[in-house]
Amino acid sequence: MESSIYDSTLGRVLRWARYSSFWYISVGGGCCADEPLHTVGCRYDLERFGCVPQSEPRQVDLLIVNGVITYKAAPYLRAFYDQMLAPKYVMSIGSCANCGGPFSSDISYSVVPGINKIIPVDVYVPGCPPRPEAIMNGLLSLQEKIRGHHRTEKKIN
Amino acid sequence: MDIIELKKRLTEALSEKILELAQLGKGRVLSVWVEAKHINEVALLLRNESYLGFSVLENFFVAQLDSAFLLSYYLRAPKTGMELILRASIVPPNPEGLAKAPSIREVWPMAEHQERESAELFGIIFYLGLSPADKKEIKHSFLPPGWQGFPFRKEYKFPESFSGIQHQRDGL
Ligand code: SF4
Repeated sequence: MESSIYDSTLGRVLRWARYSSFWYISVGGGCCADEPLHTVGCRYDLERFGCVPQSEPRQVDLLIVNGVITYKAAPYLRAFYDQMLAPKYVMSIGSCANCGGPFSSDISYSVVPGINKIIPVDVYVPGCPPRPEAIMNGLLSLQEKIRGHHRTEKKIN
Repeated sequence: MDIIELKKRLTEALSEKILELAQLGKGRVLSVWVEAKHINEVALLLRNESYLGFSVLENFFVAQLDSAFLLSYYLRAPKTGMELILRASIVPPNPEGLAKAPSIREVWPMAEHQERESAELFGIIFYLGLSPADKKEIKHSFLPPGWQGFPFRKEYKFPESFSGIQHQRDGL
């Protein structure tokens, strides 16, 4: 959603509703798949940001992809993404999903070097695996992105 | 039964089929090297003879040494607790061609899954019966459909792209 189109009170309310009630689904392909479980658990409690895990791609706004995505899994991930209803956001967790990580393209023949080659990605969370704080930081960046504050694009001199 | 007795019994039972009989792993495990075409006969004998009784196939793997493929079968006799490694080697007709090896899944049925995996990744056709069937292709169940080449071979070149996805990191 472009902020210029809904630059009214209604738009602000809509954006507020969207960024404060992320219903997400997590696609796990590797060891990183444990980290969103920690993050949603009692110690880090992702639900205070309005995140609720779901089991049905048609009901979610946020797709969390974590871990290794192979060429065999790629068409299924794409089909999964296509089933989600707009507006939809994608968060990529872990080096494997970001760029192939330890299974980079000159070491592994079967791992897709970055899921941005399959689906558009909004936020990348680096780490192998990233800590729950990093995942929460990624989520807050995504909230700010929807709010219209492009924290992730800010340049540091 | 100790390893010296097992060695004696194997030499008696297999005599001329043995290419090499060696002790591995600090001398605790016996390895028998036979010709690939004899592997089914030897396997049946090892399983059925009551004084050998190698009825369990613990593991099966393939390794590539230069141009040859080494097939290793890890066997165990539950009654005596003895271990044995059965080995054979095959050579593909050319570096890109399919190699052919007799299948032992009729002797030890648990070999089937591992044979299918090795078939796909190394390009080996495991045939039943006495002569290789006229099979030209290997069905893909581990690799995605349409994959070219055999990834575990030493000569394997990584694909440039697969189903429209460039096999390279962005920005490199
Ligand atoms: S980034 Fe590291 S922890 Fe995450 S899936 Fe890859 S190897 Fe596992």
